Amino acid sequence: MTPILECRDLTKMYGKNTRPALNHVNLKLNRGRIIGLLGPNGSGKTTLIKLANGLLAPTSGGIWIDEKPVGVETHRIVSYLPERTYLNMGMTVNEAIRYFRDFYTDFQEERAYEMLKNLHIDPSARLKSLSKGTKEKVQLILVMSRNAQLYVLDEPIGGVDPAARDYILNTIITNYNENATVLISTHLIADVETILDEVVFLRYGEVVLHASVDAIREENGKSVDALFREVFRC
Amino acid sequence: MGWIFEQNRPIYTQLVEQLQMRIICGRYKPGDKLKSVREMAAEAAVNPNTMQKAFAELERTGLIYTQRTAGRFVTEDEDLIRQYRQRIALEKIEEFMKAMSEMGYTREEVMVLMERDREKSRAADQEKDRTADARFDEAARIDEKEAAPQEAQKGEMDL
Amino acid sequence: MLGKLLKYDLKASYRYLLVCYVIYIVLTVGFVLSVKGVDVTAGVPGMILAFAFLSLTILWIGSLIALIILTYVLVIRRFYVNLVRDEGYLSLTLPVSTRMHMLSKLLSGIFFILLTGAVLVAGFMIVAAGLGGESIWEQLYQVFSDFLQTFESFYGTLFFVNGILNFIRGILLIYFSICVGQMFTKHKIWGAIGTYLGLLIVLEIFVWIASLLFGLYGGVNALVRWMYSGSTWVNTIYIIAQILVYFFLGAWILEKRANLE
Repeated sequence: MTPILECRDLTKMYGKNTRPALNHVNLKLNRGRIIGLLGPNGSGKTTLIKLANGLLAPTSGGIWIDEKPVGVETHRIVSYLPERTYLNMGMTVNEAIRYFRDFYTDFQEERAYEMLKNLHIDPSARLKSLSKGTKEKVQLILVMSRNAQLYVLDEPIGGVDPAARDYILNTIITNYNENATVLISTHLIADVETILDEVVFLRYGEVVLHASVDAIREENGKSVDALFREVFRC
Repeated sequence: MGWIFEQNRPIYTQLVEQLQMRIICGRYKPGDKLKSVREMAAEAAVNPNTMQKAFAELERTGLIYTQRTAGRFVTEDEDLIRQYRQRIALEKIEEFMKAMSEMGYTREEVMVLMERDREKSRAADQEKDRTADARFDEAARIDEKEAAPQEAQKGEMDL
Repeated sequence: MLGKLLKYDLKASYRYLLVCYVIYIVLTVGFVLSVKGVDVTAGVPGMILAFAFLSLTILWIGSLIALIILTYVLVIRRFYVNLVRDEGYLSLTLPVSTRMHMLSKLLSGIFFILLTGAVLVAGFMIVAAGLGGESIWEQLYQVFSDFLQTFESFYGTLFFVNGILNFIRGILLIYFSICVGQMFTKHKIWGAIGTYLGLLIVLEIFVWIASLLFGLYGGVNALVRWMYSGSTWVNTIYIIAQILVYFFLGAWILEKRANLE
């Protein structure tokens, strides 16, 4: 099976004489996995994610999704949750759902409404009237209601309460289809560790480890979270 | 009991153990249908692929089996379950013995300790029974007392 | 897809504009009524009316200018916020080409500016009808038929077409400048303003040099015609070339050189 995402010699520099945000990254992510993208702040997680979504252009090397260069074709199969609010705040939740339905043919409206109900979010509320955590939930619901092949979630559980966090992780486990891959960037490793197949550790824009969670636990006799703290001890 | 995972061992191994335990304890009874991989994974908050692997391992050992269309079931072979139960009991005992010998106890000393423990727990049980009986008697007396005035009131009303 | 994009682009701004149009029309009517009511000979109340007239005139002219500026601000803001700021995270990851985004922004921009133009004209008509009496309609008709007459001559038509193209070019130049500006990570807005002004200057110099060269061949007449003509083919080609460059290069930058912070 071909990888869903592949980076070849991917390098991104934000300025001429700056340290690269990503430094010759070679990475292959397979289908049907839940993958944690881990690393301290400034390690290049968000840069990698933006490159995968065409919001930044690589300085050199390239990134392919489903063997295609990033573009309209890949946007069709990638469901992306950025680490900020990206909806027009003047919209109501209903309108945001209609927006997604209009543009994404793989959007499942019923699924979105069911999740809204479970998280007690009023669909007629205007987005700007919602709390930050609720806005984040709405965005996650929209993103998870697509039948995408690759979900890219940038810090999806950062700002929400533990109950919602459990619901969200549950949603991630139950909602994605078997051949889809979920890439989750987070610094809350302990919370997501058990739902991950594998992890990618980034440091200074380089991949320092790409292994399965159980392999890490087996080899090191410690959790990924503990290993992470050790590797990135300052 | 829910699903709790230790930090320092593979999740897969722990899943296999806990599923086995659930079958041995009769929480999943012989012939019971199991939930789907996805549902189980969500319930345990683990990766579906890992759950799938754990199921595959249990299938290999024969504790569960798959019927192509109907889903996964716990084995109806109760002997097999009993065998596993005993095997795990022996493993636990072995672990325990190892810990004891690390503390410097001989097997005989452990047996003596076990005997003493049994005496103690028997005594505790008897005590518990006694207090339970006493409480029961007490409750019965109170009931009688409360019932009496009511009878009296009823009598007055009739007049 | 274009239809859907347009729907949301129009939806995003129409409410603000609608409110402004209503305010403008109300001010216009107020202005007309105050002018009609002014009678300086009638003493103090008349003075008050005169004062009201003066302030309403200022308000009316102010609202007229404000309406034009506001329309442009809304059009520019929509492009900026929707494509290269936070909302760009969604817009640019939709399965829609950046050319479609450009086209939708262009069409919605043209629509809003023309709509504002129409509302302004409606305001003038109200003023004209209120102050000019019966003959004003005849005069307006005259103006309109004079305008239609420009199309009877080829150059008149060309002049008109060039005017329209120039208007489109103007919007695209702003969009293009924003696309270029967003590549300056730390100074997106200054980058856009710099690009805009820089391009204007460069283009002026270019036209000046080009007309000088033309002038050498065709004499002073050719030079003057080239520089000030809104009615030559050369001008048409020159504007269309700019439109194409701004449109396609802008879309290309959004697709291949996006730089969302």
